[in-house]
Amino acid sequence: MNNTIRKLMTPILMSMVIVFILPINALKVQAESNPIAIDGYYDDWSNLPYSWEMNYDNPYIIENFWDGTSNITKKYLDANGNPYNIEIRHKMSMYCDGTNVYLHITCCTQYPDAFQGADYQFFVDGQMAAYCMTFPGGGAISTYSVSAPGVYSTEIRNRATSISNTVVPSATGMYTVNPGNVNNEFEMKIPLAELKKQNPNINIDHFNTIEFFTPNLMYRRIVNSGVSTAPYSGILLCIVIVGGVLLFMNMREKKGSKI
Amino acid sequence: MTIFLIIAIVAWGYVLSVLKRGKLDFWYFLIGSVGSFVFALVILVPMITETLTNAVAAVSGILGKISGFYKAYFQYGILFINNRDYNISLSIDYECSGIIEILAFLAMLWFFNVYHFYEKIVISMVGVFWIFAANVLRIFAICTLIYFGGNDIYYLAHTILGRIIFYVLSIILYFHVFTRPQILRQKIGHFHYENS
Repeated sequence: MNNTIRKLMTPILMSMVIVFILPINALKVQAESNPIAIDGYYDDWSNLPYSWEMNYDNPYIIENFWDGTSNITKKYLDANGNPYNIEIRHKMSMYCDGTNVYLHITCCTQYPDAFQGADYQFFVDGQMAAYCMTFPGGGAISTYSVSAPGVYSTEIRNRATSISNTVVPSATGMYTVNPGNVNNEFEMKIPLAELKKQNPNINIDHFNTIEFFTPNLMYRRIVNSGVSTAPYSGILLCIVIVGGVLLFMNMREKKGSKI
Repeated sequence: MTIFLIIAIVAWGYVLSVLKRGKLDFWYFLIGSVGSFVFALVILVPMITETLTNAVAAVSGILGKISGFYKAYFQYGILFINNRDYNISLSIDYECSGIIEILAFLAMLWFFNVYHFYEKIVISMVGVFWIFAANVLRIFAICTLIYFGGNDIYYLAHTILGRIIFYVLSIILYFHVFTRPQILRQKIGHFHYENS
């Protein structure tokens, strides 16, 4: 009787374990809270990583630089002592919270009339989605089209596909023009779901890397990657190896006791 | 969801009591550890993940600061590697924090019928620290490789080397906590005090 109950219990309990395990795959927790508001105020970017970019690899150390009185070795360093600063390179930040991708660019001081940074390419595990930023209605953004200082609301539009030039409905952007077009700034937000709409090959549920590139402002990409431990396979591996050792020891012991 | 969860916990508790009374030790361990792991995922993970990711980023950031290879923005769980040729942000999220491994380890430990209550408390603390340290070491290794090799080496650093480091350290922990005491028990048997 006891053995029969035990035999019946095995499939019942095995089913229960499976029922318990199944919801794990459906469970997804977003760890990062969203620190960015697209509102034309850029102070919320101050605690996020940034890098200095230019469309060619310009040097940050200039030998024999004439400072008005003598030749010096000029170094362009930022407030943290890192190579480059806003004088000769654009300051860029990208942030992905798992739902949206955010971008912030402050243009360099050196070329106030040469801003051509309205084209954006995002690569999710190598798959591209391209966008451009325009004024409402489609007016092109460049330092030539706007002269009055102020904060402007913008539209984000699809590019380079069959839906090219259509407005991305849930994406937002703000563009700030400073006096003399010096250090103009903009920030934008695009939902990852919109990247997938433009390029169905993009897998937004499981991706390792998202990269950003804007051809007129930089020569290298900004990369944001995850570093998953692949936890479930890791735990399984531990259990299999450790359990396997135990099983091996058991079998060896049984074999030994028979002899 | 809350009602479903309460019902599930009560049902799980009842099944555990039946298994305990039936002396079905293996099933008690299996149902107990899997159940507690799932309930911990549902209940605890949303509460502690952000803290843990920030802690992992902050501690990893200390190694980054000492080596000069990367900087931690621990408020957002981000490590930023910025050298002459590359600028790469590594996001420490739910799956990178080690929370799943920690909960799985604790769930198994607390239903593993070898240790006493106080031993389990001490081993829990050591185990959590070990997994946390292993994860920090893994992240440091990944960042170091990316710092020198750039994004081209990301796959090798993250998917292969980083995981090998973490898995080997995890297996060492599991072996010492779960396998070794079982082997010792098999070899030398149980100890009993005469008056117990």
